Amino acid sequence: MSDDTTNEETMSEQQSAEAFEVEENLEDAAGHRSYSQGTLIRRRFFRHRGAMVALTVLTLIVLMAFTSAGIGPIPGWWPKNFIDLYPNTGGPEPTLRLWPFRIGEHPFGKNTIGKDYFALVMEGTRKSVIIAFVVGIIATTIGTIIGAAAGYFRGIIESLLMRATDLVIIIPLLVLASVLGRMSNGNNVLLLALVLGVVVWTGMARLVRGEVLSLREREFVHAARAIGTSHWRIIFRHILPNAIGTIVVNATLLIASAILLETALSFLGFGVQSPQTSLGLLISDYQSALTTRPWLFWWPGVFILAIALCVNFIGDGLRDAFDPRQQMD
Amino acid sequence: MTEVKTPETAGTGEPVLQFQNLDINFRTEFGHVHAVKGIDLVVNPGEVVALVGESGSGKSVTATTALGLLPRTARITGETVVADQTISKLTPRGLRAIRGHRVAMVFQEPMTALNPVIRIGEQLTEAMEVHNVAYGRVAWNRAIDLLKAVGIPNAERRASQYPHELSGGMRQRVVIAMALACDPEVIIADEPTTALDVTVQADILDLLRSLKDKLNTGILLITHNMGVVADMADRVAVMFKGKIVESGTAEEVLLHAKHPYTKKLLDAVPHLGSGHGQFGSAPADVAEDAPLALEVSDMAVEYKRAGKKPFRAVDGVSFDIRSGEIVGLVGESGSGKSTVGRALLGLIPSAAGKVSVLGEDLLRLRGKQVKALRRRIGVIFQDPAASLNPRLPVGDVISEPLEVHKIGDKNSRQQKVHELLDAVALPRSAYNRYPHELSGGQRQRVSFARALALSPDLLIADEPTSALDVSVQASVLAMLIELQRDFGFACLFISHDLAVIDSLAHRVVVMQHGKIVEKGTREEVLLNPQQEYTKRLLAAAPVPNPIEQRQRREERHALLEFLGEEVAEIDTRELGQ
Amino acid sequence: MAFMFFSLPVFWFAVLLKHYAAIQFNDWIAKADFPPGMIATIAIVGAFIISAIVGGTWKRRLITFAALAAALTIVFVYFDLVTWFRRPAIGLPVYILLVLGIAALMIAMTSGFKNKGVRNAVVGTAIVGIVGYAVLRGFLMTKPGILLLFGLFGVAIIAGALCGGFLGGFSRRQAIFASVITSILASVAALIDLLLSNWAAYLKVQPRPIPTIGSATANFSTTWWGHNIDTLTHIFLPTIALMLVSLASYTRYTRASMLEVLNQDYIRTARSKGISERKVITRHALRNSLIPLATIVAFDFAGLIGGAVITETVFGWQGMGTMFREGLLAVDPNRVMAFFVVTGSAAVVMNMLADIAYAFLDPRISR
Repeated sequence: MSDDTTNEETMSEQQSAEAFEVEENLEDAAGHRSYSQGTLIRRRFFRHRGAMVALTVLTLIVLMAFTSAGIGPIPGWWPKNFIDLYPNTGGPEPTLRLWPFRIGEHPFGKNTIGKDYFALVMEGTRKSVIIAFVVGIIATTIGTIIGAAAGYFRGIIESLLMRATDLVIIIPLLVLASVLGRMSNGNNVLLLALVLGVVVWTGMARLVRGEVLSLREREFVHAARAIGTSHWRIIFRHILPNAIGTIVVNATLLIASAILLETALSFLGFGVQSPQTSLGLLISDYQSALTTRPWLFWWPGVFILAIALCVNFIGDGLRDAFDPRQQMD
Repeated sequence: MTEVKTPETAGTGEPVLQFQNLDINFRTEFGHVHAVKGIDLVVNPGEVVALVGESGSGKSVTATTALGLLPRTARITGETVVADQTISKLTPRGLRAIRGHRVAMVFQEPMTALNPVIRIGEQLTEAMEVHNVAYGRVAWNRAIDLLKAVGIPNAERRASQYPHELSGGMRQRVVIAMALACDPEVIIADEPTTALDVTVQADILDLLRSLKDKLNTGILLITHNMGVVADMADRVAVMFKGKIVESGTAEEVLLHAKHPYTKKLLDAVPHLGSGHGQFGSAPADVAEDAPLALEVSDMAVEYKRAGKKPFRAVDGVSFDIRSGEIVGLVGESGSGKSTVGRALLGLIPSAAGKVSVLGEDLLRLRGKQVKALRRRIGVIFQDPAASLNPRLPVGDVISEPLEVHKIGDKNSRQQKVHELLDAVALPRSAYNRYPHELSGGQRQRVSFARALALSPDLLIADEPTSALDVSVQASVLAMLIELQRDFGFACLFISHDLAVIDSLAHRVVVMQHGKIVEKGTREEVLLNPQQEYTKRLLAAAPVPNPIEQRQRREERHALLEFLGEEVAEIDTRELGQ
Repeated sequence: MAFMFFSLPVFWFAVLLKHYAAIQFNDWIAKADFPPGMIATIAIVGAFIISAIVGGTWKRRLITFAALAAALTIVFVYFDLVTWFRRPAIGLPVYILLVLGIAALMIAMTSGFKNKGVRNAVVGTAIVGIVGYAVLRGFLMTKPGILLLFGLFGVAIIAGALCGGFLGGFSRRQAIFASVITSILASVAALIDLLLSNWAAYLKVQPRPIPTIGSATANFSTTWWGHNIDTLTHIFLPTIALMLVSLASYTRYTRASMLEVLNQDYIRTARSKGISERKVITRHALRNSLIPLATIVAFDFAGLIGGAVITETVFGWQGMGTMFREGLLAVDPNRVMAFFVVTGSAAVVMNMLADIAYAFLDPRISR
């Protein structure tokens, strides 16, 4: 160590003073790649194994469900639909075999009156996925706006909005959704989704309000106000982009619970109704068939479980990507 | 239980803490960080060794090694010896046995160091029970004795209270009492006074010094504050980027520094009493008849509280700033100085008073006129990390004021941003960088650029350099002085650091508990204070010269005795049972 | 693992429970035998789970696993030989061991064996409990009553508090806390013993014990204990289904809360004092992270009253949920309104209680 000191002492004062710049020179930082926050988050997300697996599985399920029956003019790859009866294609058991691999005529079997169960389950999946995503988007939008307004403006606006939110929270979700579902025509899927979206936003509103409350005390918001920035510009340009982590993570959780909610509603009879089908409706119809035709009961449940599980894992991966501190060691 | 050692035995005997060729490497998201590169350090009983460095020097990491508390991503080579135990050879149980017992740590933030739901007495007895020093009632009594020894009044009552019922200074005393609970041979104090007011800091330093004098404890003091070093240390080691670049006695290092980095560091420390020109240039003089930029008359700010009378954070404050003048607003925490700044910016509504900015009454204006007035006031905040929106690149941050006030078009704004980047000595390539890629000093320069974007007449700087390293602070302050000469704005400089105010203010205003205690020119207030509070404040501020500081310390003790107060020190009668 | 709970559709799971936990269990209980394969599976899985919870180094886990697997095997072989599930009996000797074990666990978890006060208080409570139960057992078997049971429970708690107060020495507060918990656990153990003793008689009258429909067996006349066992078995499955939903949000919340607390400065201070990691978590971290849980519990409780619609539908209970569902299907606004009034009031009351509890638990909130 003493050798180092002697060497440095022989440099000129000026050179040695510059050599001990505590701050890094931006110019030689040009050698490093410049990472925006978005890039950092993306990298962390793609490293999360659970989330990646879940993302793959979910994509596969969604693709399978939507392409099997065709989109618009493009025909699907599954020859049977969920309306026709197929009495002459063998017994009702599933023809799917894992080893040796064979799909057969009816991989998920046939239901009690002879419809192809694979097509039924795919249709149910389609309905549930569409509803879940629409609900997710609607609820996120409503919740974010209400939460942001309440958290930023405070005062009487906050009181009103939060009391309204509390009112909606107090009523058990399933109950409220049941009433609204009953009131809306079960045949219009989009209307149902709209109605559901209007009741599940409360959790998001609370969380966004909390984030906005703490963000608005940060100094860059003070600086923006001191410059004279208008309120809504502050909210949309400064506060919400910094709350995006919470919003996105909760949006995925919302979607997961929306799936469960919709299937539960359909199970009870207040959601999607015949002649349309939903995974929850399928389970409700065949719950007593567990001993005689178990496949009718298992397949829809497994699909609900798989979709919800995947969405939850993706949400967890997103949460870790946005806030890497949150890892148990 | 505890002997009172005489000062002659100080500094002799086996070292209580030793680092031998310590090398620490961290695994992070982006690769390896070589935090400590082979250092040697020794602490003997009864002496204070100060480990000095700026952020990133590796000083805190070194200290945490002595307790074995580093995260698992750290790879450590070299030896750390505490008393007679080698850290690397200890099992986890062995490590736990020495933590708190042979070596104790005092951390930086007293407000969060104590568990909020457990009583203070129980937090003290816990350490004793874990190390089999005492149990039950015996432990509780010892806890009360410890609290008395560190100078907490009403110790019996305080021991049953919760941490939130104590002030910051008292909490730090409790933390020190906790560290002493099992008679450790060495105490590691990691920036123990950085979060405290300067008067409280002086008391805590007195207390720590008496520990070394009366109990022969070795102390490893980690700090970046040269004044604290001059006040406390027997020996000093200076760390830079993981290496110790200079070490020696306090007088050797602080007064006869050999290494260029140490010299640079010491040059950058503002020295109370040296006045203007410490950082190269001095602020321009102000003409006697210069027009007023800011006039505050009887301003009051109130916070409403549920069920109680409203709390007056600021009461009856009046002062003025002339065009081109720098006025320093000084006070400790809770004095209301930051509140004044925020009220002037319109961030908090003020309850009363008249604020006249450049001839217009700020508090009477509404809507568009307020916005027009806002153009003429710029602001710099304390925390460089929180002052910039992490999601916007630097160019957008600086051009924000131009966009909000709809000045120019895209090209002219870009041009202006480039000019501002030049003015604050940042390279043009910073335009597309994000704040998290810049260092603290660079971010603060971006804040300056943003504040100057609209060519304001008045700049309000709220503790702009308090969160920066000393050498960075010096360059930022030098830049401020030069900008002020070039642009000619008036400046309200809010700070708690008297030495910084001394280096650049024309006039000074001192606040306490929301009221103005004293105001006048810099020479009047800082060199010849009239009020008792101002005298106390000045006496407590340390200077980086050990000989001068010793004298100031004696003067301060004399002042305290004159005011009828006791000097803080450990009361060994309480511990001798 | 917790994700499974979040993602599970409750209604689907409830039907599965009905099938496997009830129907298949009822089929099995007729003989109550444990074929070797089942014993091996139970032993391995059980030992694995518990050794994972206990944790520690690989060596320790392996030892725990081996010991537990062996113990479980022996226990279940015994169960098989004795058809214990048809004629369960704990008996007084096992009860004594059980209560002493509870006492030891309480001491170990709160303050350690070195603290004489707590140790004496807890052991004293255990002895009082054992003696009390031994004396009263015969009486309770033949002449039970709900008031009597509650009264004895109250006496047990008071006895525990008194033991803690008198024998606790200096750590009185901790001793009272530990003793009261011990007496509660001992009372619960006594209750289980009494119930199990009546199980054989119940099986004779009701050969398929776990029901899937309804809240009580129709036209059922039997002893007082028999009725209670009947009620409990009817509650069993719906409880599991409902628990699942709450469990999910509790674990998620506690995990998030714990993570936040473990990053705080005072945890670092506790570690630097040399406290063992286990104590850092139980004594320092847990208390802080559980405080916000009070509000969640309150909300959840209120939610359970109204939200059990699915469970009631699946298990055929005639509760609030059924009333709501049928009212809605029949478009009967009165029933639906009544439902909202009750659940709304419950929510308001529980929230008030939660606020009070919060102020009580967190010393920073001024009373």
